[in-house]
Amino acid sequence: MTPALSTATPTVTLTAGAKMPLIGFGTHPLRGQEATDAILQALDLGYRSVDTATRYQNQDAVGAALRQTSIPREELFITTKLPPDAVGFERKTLEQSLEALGTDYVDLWLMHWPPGGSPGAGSWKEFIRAREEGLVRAIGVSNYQLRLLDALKRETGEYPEVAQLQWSPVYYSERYLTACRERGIVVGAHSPLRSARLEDPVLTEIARAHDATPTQVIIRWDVQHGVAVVPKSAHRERMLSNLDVMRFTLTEDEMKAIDGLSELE
Amino acid sequence: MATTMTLNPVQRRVQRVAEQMDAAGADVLLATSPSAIAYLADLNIRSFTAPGTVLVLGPGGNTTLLASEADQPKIAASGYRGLTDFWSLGQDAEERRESVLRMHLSGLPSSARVAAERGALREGAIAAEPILDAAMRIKDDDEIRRLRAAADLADIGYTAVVDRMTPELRVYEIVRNVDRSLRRAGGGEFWSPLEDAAGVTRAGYYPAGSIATLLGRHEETGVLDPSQPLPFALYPLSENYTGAAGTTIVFETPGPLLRSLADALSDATETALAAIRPGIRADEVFAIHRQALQGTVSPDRLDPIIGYSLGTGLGRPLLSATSEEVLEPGMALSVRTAITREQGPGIAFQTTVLVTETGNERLNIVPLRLIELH
Ligand SMILES: NC(=O)c1ccc[n+]([C@@H]2O[C@H](COP(=O)([O-])OP(=O)(O)OC[C@H]3O[C@@H](n4cnc5c(N)ncnc54)[C@H](OP(=O)(O)O)[C@@H]3O)[C@@H](O)[C@H]2O)c1
Repeated sequence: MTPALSTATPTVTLTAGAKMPLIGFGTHPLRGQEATDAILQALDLGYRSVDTATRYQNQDAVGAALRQTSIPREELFITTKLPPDAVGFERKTLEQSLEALGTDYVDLWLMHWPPGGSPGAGSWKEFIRAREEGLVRAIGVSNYQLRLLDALKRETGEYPEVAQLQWSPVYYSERYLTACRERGIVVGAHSPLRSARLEDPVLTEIARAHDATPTQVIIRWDVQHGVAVVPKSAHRERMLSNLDVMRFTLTEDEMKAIDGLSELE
Repeated sequence: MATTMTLNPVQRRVQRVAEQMDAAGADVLLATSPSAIAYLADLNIRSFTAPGTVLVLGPGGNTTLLASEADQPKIAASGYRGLTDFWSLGQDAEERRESVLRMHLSGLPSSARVAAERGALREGAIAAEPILDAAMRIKDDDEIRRLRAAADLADIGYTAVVDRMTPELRVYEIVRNVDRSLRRAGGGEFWSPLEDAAGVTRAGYYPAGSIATLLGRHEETGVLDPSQPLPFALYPLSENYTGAAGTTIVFETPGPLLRSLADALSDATETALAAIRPGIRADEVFAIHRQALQGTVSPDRLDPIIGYSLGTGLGRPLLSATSEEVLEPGMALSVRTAITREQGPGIAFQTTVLVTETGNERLNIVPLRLIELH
């Protein structure tokens, strides 16, 4: 058995006050018992944040893990997402999420994709209402461009608290990060490893310098940027390794070197 | 029987066809459709270079595949274990195909009775379709597993369409997004209901030869019209078994007429689906659907068939006004309902269901309602 981590994962306080761990456990595409087992292992190792979605068809498996763990609900941070085909069915879909998860609130509810590439202001108003009613603690979006974040603000008066998107050294955008910071939005990183080039010599070199792996370097880089990252692994060793990134710090030069790996124009 | 225990999935399917051949008095069966050849040989001829492939199922369950030499590498790579014979390429390839086929048939005893699908029909032959339909009627566990995997692929294709959809996308970009995500999920092959004359609907479609199919595009412009509904379907294959799912997107709040038509079709589809259970006759399910739409839409804007047997392709039409077939556990159906409109594309919904001991199980998550993306 791998020992659980003693170092706590840092958190960030979102606009409406929820505290979000900067490292969470990604659950896609795990389903059923495999998902429940993986989440229980992750919780056992020290993860406190779990990222799921209606689309993943595993909210019931997350719910099973929540029932089985001895960790109190208030110490956990559960994210789920509204699929874009649920316009007009927002509340019903949230209720189904809560039911499957076996909880009376989620910590973060994201619009999974901009519906039809639009800001989805109609759905966003439902998000704001759900937060007001305490069914969700924080609200955000996923896969949104900057202009859509601003459109939401314009049309509803409220920015998302979190903007999750495919984010790794390859997909790093200083412009997006800065713009989000200015708007009080925390950037969330999905597919942080899958969308990266793990063999990139810049990463392997930095990893060697810290007696770490390139995956750990990426996760640490996210944390130092204040980006909330949700790596997924079905393997205990990797889950632990992905969480065990607080024992080293990247220098400013190293951070810059990793930023420089961006392949976005 | 001890031998039955050791048969692999394709051998079990061949055995079922052989039993039906016995019952129909046929000694040899000539299969030409992609569906029949996939069923008998676990081989997808849809991607073959040359047309005209024939699978000969002979006495004792032996198969011989007659194909163009252009497809020799594909057949070699497919894991097909039966015998093969090839006709050579060139201007007279058709004649050579015919002579290869004739040669194989001439080796049979003169008393041998031949059953043939339409594409290989010979004088005096028994129609092979009823034999194949009967064999394919009830799915075994392996077939159900494959159908589930195909339904999952269709669902992945659906999310690839919906998640990334914007009115600015080009048609080819939608097709490419689906292709990319399905290949990542382990399936890039496609089929089409239009392979069979019975599978043709009023909704014209584009593009052919892709997993994602946009429906009702009688004039293909390559771009989307955000003021119009966008009916679409996904037709992936998983281990030669078919996925079939579809629904209709709108990019703006639908007007009252479109909304009421879509709601009516959605409700009528759900009502028909709820009626699917063992013991009900197929025409009763069809009548339930029509009844639910009565007064809302004129029958000439509805298709005459709303459900087909599904397996290695679109099988026999099941849910129609004239099908007296009684549904049984283990049947798989593609339920496809649509309303055509005079102007522009109509509304279409499609899903795969499995008849269970107590009712039915829907294999897709695709919602059978207007998908509003705005
Ligand atoms: N909002 C969205 O649209 C969206 C989209 C995609 C993903 N997400 C979320 O983000 C989460 C993470 O993204 P993702 O699953 O796409 O990709 P990811 O976490 O970047 O990568 C997962 C892959 O990396 C492997 N892996 C994990 N840790 C590793 C390590 N230490 N060393 C080597 N390989 C390792 C995993 O394999 P093993 O499992 O075999 O260990 C798996 O194949 C998802 O689970 C989901 O919760 C959100």
